[in-house]
Amino acid sequence: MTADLKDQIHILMERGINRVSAADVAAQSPAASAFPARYLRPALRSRRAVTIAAVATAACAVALVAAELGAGASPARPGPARAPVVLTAAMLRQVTSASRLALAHAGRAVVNSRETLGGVLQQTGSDNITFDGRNWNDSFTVVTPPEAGQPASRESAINRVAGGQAYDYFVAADGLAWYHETGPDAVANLAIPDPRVLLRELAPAARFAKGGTSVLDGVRVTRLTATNTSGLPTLNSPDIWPAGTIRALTIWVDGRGVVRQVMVTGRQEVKVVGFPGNPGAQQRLRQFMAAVRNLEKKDHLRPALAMERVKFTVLGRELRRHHLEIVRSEASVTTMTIRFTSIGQPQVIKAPAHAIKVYGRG
Amino acid sequence: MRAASGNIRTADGIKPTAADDAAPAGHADNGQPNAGRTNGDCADEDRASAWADFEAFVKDVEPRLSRALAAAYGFEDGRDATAEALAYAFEHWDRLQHIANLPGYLFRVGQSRSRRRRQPVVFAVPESTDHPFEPGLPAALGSLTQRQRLAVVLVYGYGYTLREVAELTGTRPTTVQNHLARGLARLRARMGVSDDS
Repeated sequence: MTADLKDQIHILMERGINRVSAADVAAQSPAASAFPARYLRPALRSRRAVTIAAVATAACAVALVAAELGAGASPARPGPARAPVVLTAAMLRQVTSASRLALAHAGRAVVNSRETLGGVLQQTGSDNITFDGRNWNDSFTVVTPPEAGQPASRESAINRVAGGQAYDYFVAADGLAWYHETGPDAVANLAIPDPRVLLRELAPAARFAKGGTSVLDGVRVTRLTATNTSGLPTLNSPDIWPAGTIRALTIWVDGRGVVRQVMVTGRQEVKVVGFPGNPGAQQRLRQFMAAVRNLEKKDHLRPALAMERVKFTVLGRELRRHHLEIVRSEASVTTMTIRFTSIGQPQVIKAPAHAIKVYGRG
Repeated sequence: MRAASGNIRTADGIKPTAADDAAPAGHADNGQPNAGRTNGDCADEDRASAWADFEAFVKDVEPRLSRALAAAYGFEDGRDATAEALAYAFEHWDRLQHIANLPGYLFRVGQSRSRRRRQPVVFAVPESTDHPFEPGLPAALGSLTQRQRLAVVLVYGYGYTLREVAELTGTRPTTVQNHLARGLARLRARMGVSDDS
């Protein structure tokens, strides 16, 4: 590493900046065929439009998407008065199909999530997922900031499925170790999130508009943003995504039409419990939160899934026991970024050599 | 759509001979019956000349513009802003090519195109094994104000003069100097360094 700060700034900028050439600019402009502007002829524009439409309707979606999203080919669509380029249904089907095929067997995914409640950060999470056929590995960390007198917490664990068997690695009463879950539903209960389910959200009704290009992991990608999120289907996959309405969805697609990154933001109204006018409220709230956290640790599940379980199985009982009441409704906003890497490359996921056999869970 | 060879003149009909292919048969660029090649040839030469001017202009100005807009908005949005500013120049080349401080003008165009974006400035680069800069540098740069970042990156990182940066950003050299001093102090404090060595 160079010690000089000015050199470091120079290197950082030079590594990050993506150049724009005159050819890039002209290639994206509808005025390209009539440059400079005094040579603009309406007939020429319409002929180009007809040609493009004919190509699109000739079921050449693959070629068109490849050309539109081609590696290094597409800077931001320029022009002040121009509407953004919206992908046709055929183009989007091509993206979905190419991504599904590319990610069908093996690869890696890094999932970063951030959850706020009423604008206050509740927790951040990071999942490093590896998959190869039916074998999965999810190494995750959840960080909870300090709140209401409780210290901040950071918990990490690994969930793994190898050879049809379930393993997890976490801190239990007897220390940090690998455990081999031998119960009949152990694999089903392991709750490994599958970020590929988010690809189901790529519905044409969302009207994905083409944005600029950038480089992800050395690959030139094009940004596509959903301009009509009400056109997105409801996503029901609590392992990867808490229930709620998707408010923003952006994907980054490479030149082959394969999704390399997804950023999604969802929002839901949640009920906040409290003790209105009840003496000793703070103490009982702490007791309640401790009970919830114990349940999470006991089941060593991902917090999102654990919270769902808490909500449905414990909350009612705790409400009665501690006289908690739902005092208000607040917006819970979750933002999640998923980056796919090593797409299609075989991953080695083996059963841990030394795992303590346990039957059932908890 | 990008030309396969990267030569847009060939692919999109800017090259004189290709332009004739796209025009209605028997008509020159002025819409009159093609009685001779003279008018068309002149127009084609003009267009080729304009393209050459634009290409030379982009080659000269794009690095400055890219660096400034990347410093202002981060790599990704900065690239978008640069592309949009240059596209604006491309589409209004007749009118803009005679502006005295065209880089400064296009910097403003890029800024106005980026105003709708209210996202954090991100300086994300692909991971590398040689670690050429402090891991905290991108975040520290992102924490500066936009004007401080412009001054620090362009003057300190790239060695531009205060006057060059002032012309590009439409401010005075003394203002750039102030932003540079404050930005550097804040950057060093954020990174926990007292000087460069």
